[in-house]
Amino acid sequence: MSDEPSAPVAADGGAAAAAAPPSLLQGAAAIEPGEASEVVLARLAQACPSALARAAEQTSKRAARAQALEGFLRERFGVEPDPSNGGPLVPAERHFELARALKEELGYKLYVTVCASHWPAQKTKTGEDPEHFELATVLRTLGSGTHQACWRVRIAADVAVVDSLVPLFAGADWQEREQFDLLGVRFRGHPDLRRLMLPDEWEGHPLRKDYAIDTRCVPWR
Amino acid sequence: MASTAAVSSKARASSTEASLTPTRAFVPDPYLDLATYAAAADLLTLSLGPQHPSTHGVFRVVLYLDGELIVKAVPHVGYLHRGVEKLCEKLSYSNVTPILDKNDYVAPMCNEQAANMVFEQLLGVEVPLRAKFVRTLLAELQRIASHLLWLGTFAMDLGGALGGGTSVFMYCFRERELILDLFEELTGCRFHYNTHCIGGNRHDIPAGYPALVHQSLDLIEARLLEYLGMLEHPIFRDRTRGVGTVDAELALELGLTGPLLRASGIDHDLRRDAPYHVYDLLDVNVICDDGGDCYARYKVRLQEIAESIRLSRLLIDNLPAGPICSTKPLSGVTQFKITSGQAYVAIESPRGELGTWLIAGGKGMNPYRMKLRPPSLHALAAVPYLFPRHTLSDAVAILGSLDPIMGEADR
Amino acid sequence: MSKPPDESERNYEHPLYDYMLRVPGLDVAVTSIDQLLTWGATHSLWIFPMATSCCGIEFMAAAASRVDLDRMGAMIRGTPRQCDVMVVAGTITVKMAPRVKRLWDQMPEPKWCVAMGSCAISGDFYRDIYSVVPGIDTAIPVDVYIPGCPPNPETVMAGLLRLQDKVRLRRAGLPVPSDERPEVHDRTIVPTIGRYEDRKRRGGADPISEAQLESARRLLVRGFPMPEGIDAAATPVAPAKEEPKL
Repeated sequence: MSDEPSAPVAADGGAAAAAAPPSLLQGAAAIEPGEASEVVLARLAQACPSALARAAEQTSKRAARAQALEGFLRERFGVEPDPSNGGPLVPAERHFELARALKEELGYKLYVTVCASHWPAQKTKTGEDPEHFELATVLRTLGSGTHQACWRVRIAADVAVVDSLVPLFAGADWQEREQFDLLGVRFRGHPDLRRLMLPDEWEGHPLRKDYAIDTRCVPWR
Repeated sequence: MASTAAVSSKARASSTEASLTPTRAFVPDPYLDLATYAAAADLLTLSLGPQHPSTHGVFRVVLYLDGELIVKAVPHVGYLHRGVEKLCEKLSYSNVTPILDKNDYVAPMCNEQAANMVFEQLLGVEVPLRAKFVRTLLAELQRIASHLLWLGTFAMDLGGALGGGTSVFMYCFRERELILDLFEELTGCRFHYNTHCIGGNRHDIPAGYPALVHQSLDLIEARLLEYLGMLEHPIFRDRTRGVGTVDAELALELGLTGPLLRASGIDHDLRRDAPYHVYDLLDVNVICDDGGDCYARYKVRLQEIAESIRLSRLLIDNLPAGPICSTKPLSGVTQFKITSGQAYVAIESPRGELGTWLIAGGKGMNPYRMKLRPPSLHALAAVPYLFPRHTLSDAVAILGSLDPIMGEADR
Repeated sequence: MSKPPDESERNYEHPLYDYMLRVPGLDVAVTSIDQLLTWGATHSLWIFPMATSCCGIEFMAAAASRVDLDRMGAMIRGTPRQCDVMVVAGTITVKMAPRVKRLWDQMPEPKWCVAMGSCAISGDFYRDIYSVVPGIDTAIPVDVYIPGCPPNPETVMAGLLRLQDKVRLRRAGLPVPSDERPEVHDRTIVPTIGRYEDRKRRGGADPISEAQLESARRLLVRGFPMPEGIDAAATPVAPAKEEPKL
């Protein structure tokens, strides 16, 4: 099966390759067997001698950074880490302060992403949870043992305003414009808050939960 | 046209106002008020795109030109905004993968991996060792194909300097087809593979596949030298050296990642620094360059192809036995349920850090909110900083060197 | 393209054509010249690639070294004013559609349009999304549909051969069959604006195209207002549109 001569990876003309039927994928038996994982790992360790040691070093570095971040958040901001939800919930008025502290004191210099989400009003066990937005931000340290810092901010829907991070990271400009465009969260201090993806005349913010996915768009639908 | 433009750009640059003199420390103001500009009345407004052969898809940038020099550039994106994030909220977890194939259509494998890794993290599903090896192999092969496509289109952007421009494009596509053939052999598709699923891969490596991989990689490696012969050329160097320089500080400010960040001299690569799959078993050589200009980006990408070839060989030679998937993807639609939790997982795609922020919630059958972190959008956000003080022809070279994929940037 | 061409539609031929027909004894020569012209028109289709997304990459692959559309005389040109064929390859969004329409209007007659890939045909996969146009045939008339997601380069070539057949028929003054849109899933949204060449939706003397022209014109100005004379509520829409089950 595997020795079929008409292996379709032909360096010459495409017509021959297109005409030849797939020769290797027929039948369930034709699977590359592979070797025992111990053999493979031992051989790879020989081929890449420094890899495992470096990975271990990075893991410990990352753990140290995570610990430092936890301590920092607990001390300065009084929040507990919440790894199952990506990061802790920080008061919205300290959003900018936290970003600046992370950038300038802890070395989280790379602006990764921002993600806003819309939560309509819903009834919970403890009572009514009003409509609100959540804004998650991710920063990252550079180089060996890189660690990402995530935190979330809760924004009331009637205000829907949060501090912009553009004064700290120029890359936040378009990311925040996109969140404004798709969710309607406004950013205080943003130099140029316009729609990014949709035309300027567009009505509504598509990623809100109350926006139907097939909303009419004249004249096509 | 190309070479004369390069010459005249240097001639012009020396004779204009001090604020436009190219110096390392000067960072253009993207929010420049044109009314304050001295020669505002004489500015020419030029709209480049959204349908233009050199914009790599549907990207539009409005240029304000003083003579041939760009004073201000205002980019517009969103011409390919397909609402992928909204669509993902309507789909079950196992159905998200094929949508993300269409997202970054030059590197679909990496998109599939980015999404499935975050699902696996929240579900707590283990991936078998063999599947991890296969994923790493596919990601590296995809990197070769993606960089080859970039090289071809970049050479075409530089146009007349390179023998009509299309020669390098033709050669690069010849080699890219070899990689696509490998993928087609494995998955049945040229692209939009849908081969990753939660817990592993759908398609196992067929018998005889390693020989095919070696054959293709040998060919590509031999032909990489041909590219050097075609591209290491005074005109090519003149048009790329010192053009579109991003220093390390600006690159970090803008959130550039991947080859763009490494070409600015920052030694950062998620494959080595935050290893996923089996990258912790491999010696990944991170290729950096201090230049920060188009030429540095070209060098970094070309060397990354060579590095990916080396890693791919290592992986296909050491394929462990065992299951390819820990769930059962082929026996009908497997329904996964995640009721709560949020996570951000990132991988190193050919264009940089490709991450997914997933919020699970609601009934748990589909994502509550999925945010993709597209490296291309960050790269395009650099345009207002890079274009000013360059000529129009340099702008095309800079845009090409950023390697934007609009499907990914607009989503 | 929908109707068999009558005398008035012959005007796209060479200006001397009608005159030459009237000169006695020239018909033999004209036939030969006509054959030559037809051969030329068929094998020098210059393509304007309206490449927006994934299909654009596959179209590039079709034009590149392995499949090489050039050997069929199809050349890729970056300007609409020199092209005969527009290949719409990729998803067309509401923001992009007016631009496509404008570029189409800039192409000289005779011109053809190829919808490549399911997104350009019906917006498939993204058809339910707020910002996606459900098929480019709502904005410009399509002559050949190439199905696939994305179509292989070989399929693109097959589509081009089909287009060449159509060009031959049109040159000969014979009726050109209009291509049916490939069948898509029942759940596909029926756009409020009609499709060109959609027989099921056509009532009487093509009421759609006027509205389409008007809408495309309106879209070019800011604001996306509903064209006058079209009542969105009265236009036939898809029966009982529920939440799409994806």
